[in-house]
Amino acid sequence: MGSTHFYLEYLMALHSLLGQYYHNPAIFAIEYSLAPGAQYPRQPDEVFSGYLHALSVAGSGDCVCVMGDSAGGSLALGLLSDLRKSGMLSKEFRERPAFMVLVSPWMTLVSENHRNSQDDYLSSESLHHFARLYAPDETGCIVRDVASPSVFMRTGWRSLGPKYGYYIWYGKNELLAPDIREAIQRLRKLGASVHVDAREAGGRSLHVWPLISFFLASDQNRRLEETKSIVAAISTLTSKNVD
Amino acid sequence: MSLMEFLSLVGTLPHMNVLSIGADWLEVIEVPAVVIRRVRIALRLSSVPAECFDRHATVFEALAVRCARYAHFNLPPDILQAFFHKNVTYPFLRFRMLRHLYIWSPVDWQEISDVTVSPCVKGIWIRKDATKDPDIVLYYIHGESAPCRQRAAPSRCLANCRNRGWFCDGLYPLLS
Repeated sequence: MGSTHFYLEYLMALHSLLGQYYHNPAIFAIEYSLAPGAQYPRQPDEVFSGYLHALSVAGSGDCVCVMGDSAGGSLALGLLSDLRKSGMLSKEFRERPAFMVLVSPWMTLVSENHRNSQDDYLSSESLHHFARLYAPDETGCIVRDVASPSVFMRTGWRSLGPKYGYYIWYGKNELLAPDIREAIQRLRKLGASVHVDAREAGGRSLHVWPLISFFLASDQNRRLEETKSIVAAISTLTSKNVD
Repeated sequence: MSLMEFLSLVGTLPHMNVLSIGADWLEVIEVPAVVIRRVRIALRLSSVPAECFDRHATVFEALAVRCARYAHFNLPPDILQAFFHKNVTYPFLRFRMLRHLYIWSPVDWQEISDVTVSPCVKGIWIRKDATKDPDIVLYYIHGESAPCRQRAAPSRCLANCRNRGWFCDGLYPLLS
C-alpha cells in the first residue's frame, strides 16, 4: 500500500521474527514506481531488477524468499515468469527463489470472481478501476491478460516455481478470496507445492490482514499472530531452522 | 437532505433513485453509525452473524477499516498516495518509536539507490550484520493502493450501503 517507508515498521518486526530462526537474516524491500504515474510493464521490470540486486547479496537463490502482498503478490508471480523469459532458470535453476509467500495476492486484474464483501475495505469497482490505470492496452480501457498471474500461469509452472513451493495467506471473507482459491487450485493442478493459510470469516479475514492487524490490533499477540505463522512457515518449509 | 429523503435511505420508502443530493453528507454520519453498530453488538442488541468482521473487531479496528473503505472508494490516487509517502510515514514511525522510548532505530536499515542498472533499483535493506553473508534474504514486494477516482453515482453508492446492511443495523437506531 504505497511505499516501503509505510512498511518499514512491519519489516522491522518481520526481521526480528526471522532472527528467531536464522543467524543473520536480511530483508530487501523494493521501492517501485506506482500507478497511475507508471504503468505496466514498468513495475515488473523494476521488481526484476530488484530481485537481481537481492541475489547479488544473497549469492544464490537458495536463500532467497520472495514475499508479496496484494499487488505485490501479483508482481512476485510475474517475477517468476520474467526469470524464465530472461533465461536465468536454465542455469540449473539456481537463480529461482527458494520460497514464495503471498499474502492476499491479486491473481487476476479483472475477474467476475471479485465479489464485494460485506466487510472488506476493497471494492471490485475500485480494484478494476485501478487495474485499468495499471495495465491499460492501446485503447486505454482494456486490461492486459499478460499482467494477471492466473492467466499467465500455464504448463511448466512447477519447474518455474520456487524450490520449496508457495505459502499463501488469505481471508475467506475478502474480496479476492474466490479468485485466490481458484488460482491455488490451478497451481496445484500444475504440480506446485502450495501451503495455504485461509483464515475463517470473522475478525481476521480482511484483505492483507497480517499487515493491517499490525497497525490496528490492541495487543501484541493479535498484532503479530499471522506474521509469526508466516515466519514459522518460511523456516519450517525451507528446512533452514538453525535452532 | 429532507426527512423524506433520509427515510428513504433506511428503507422505509422503496425508491432510491430520487437521492442525488446529499450523498457526501451521508458519509459524515457513517462513522457514528459504525460506533453505534459496534456498541449494539457488544450489548447483544444486534443479530450480527458470527462471520461478520465487526462482531470480532474493536471499535478502533472497525472505525479504521471503515475509514480505509471510504478512502479506497472516494479519494483520488494522488491524495491517497500522499498518506503513504515517506514524508508522512517516516515521521509517524518516529512518533511510534518515541512513544516506546526508542530514540534510535532498534534495527539497522538503509535506503539504497542503484542507478547503474536499468531500470534503477531503489529500496530499503534491513540487515543484522552487513559484514557477513546473510543466511536468508527476504525480498519484499509491497502492494499498491487501489484508489477509485471515479466516484460511484450517489444513488448506486447508497444502494450498495443499504445492501450491505449498514443502514438497517447502523443508521436505523438513530431514527428509532
